[in-house]
Amino acid sequence: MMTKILYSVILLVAILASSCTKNDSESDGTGNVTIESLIADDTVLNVWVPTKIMVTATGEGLVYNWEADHGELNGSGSQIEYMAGTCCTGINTITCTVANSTNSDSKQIKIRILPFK
Amino acid sequence: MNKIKLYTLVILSIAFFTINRANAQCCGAGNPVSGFGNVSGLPFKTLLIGSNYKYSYSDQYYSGSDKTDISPDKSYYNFVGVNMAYGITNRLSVRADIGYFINKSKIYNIQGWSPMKGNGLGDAELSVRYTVVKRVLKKFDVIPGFGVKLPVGVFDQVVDDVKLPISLQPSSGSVKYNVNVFVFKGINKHSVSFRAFAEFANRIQSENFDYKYGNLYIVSAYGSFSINKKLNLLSQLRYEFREKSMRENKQIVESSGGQVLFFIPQLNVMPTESFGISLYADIPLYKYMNGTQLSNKFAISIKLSKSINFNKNCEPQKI
Repeated sequence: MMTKILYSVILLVAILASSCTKNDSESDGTGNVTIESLIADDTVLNVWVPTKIMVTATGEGLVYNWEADHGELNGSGSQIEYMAGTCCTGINTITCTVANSTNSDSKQIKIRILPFK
Repeated sequence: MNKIKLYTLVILSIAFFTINRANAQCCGAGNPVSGFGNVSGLPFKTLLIGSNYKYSYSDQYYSGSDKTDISPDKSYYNFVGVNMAYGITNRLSVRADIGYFINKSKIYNIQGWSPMKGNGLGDAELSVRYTVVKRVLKKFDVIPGFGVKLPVGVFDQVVDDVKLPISLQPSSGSVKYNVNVFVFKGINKHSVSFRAFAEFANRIQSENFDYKYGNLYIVSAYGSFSINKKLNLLSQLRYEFREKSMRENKQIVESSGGQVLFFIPQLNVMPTESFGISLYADIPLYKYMNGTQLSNKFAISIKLSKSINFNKNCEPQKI
């Protein structure tokens, strides 16, 4: 009885764990990848005010990955929107990584979120 | 009712005291469920298996204790958890919890912004409890415990090539420790209980995040009223205090942490002596949010519990 319960729990955990996958795009492109610019419409923002961030890169079969240490990103591809709520006032870093199957390049931009009034 | 039946009922009743930790803030990385509490009183060689589902919804921003008219976003999650507890001796018991977010979503009131959703395995928690005072005839227990929460699940989750914010990550991304003490007093068929709990969060340092949640302190008082052998009502008042969070370079996050007083009505049904179903809701009565924060509006939960006694002798418990 105890063994059956143990096996059931292990099976359940394995099923749950197997369902956890990163949802990344994959590229078939090869060759050099270079980010030429990473710019935002505004780099000083009030809370909950979105701004566009655009990346320009050269290379073949490019995939654009985005991350922010604080705040939220919405969209995909070479242009994305960023905003931050009251949780995230201060200077935040947004990182864009452009990649294909053989190479990648990363660049960061800092955006300051003003205190909420 | 013989002693074994009575004992089983007591175990299940105590199991129902498991409470979902609804944070003062609406949302944060990691499981909403804290495993403390429901292994108390587990006798020797008794296994308690439980499963719970929780839905939580948040759509209201607070500044201090006042509602604001800000509504940039709202969030909700659906969570399922499983747990097992086992009585190693009549006083010492261990427990394991693990949880899974079916979804952890945020909907924006900003033009052009799509909803964002995380999902996946959350944290695992291991805890140990030891009954330092056990008076069977007086129905009085004092049970301190210790637990550690491990970030075994999904963190740094990426959806559509965009990393989710920390509030939507299923796992907490850091090890957390907790200590707690549970005091139980039976009064005829009814009972009153008290619990104190403290959780200490470690700093999250992943490839993207550098963050430390504030420590969490909870005190709870319970009153349990048995309608009959199969039906039990439980009322809980729970006060939560969370310290402010900290980001990189030890910067304090001013809009984090706060205080919430919850009322948690709970209905417990025991169709058989070893199986129970519990329904409950977290209803905030008072909130004080540091700065301005999205706050939990309500949460509803259902919990199933099954106890199995492997001790064929079923010796009466020593006082």
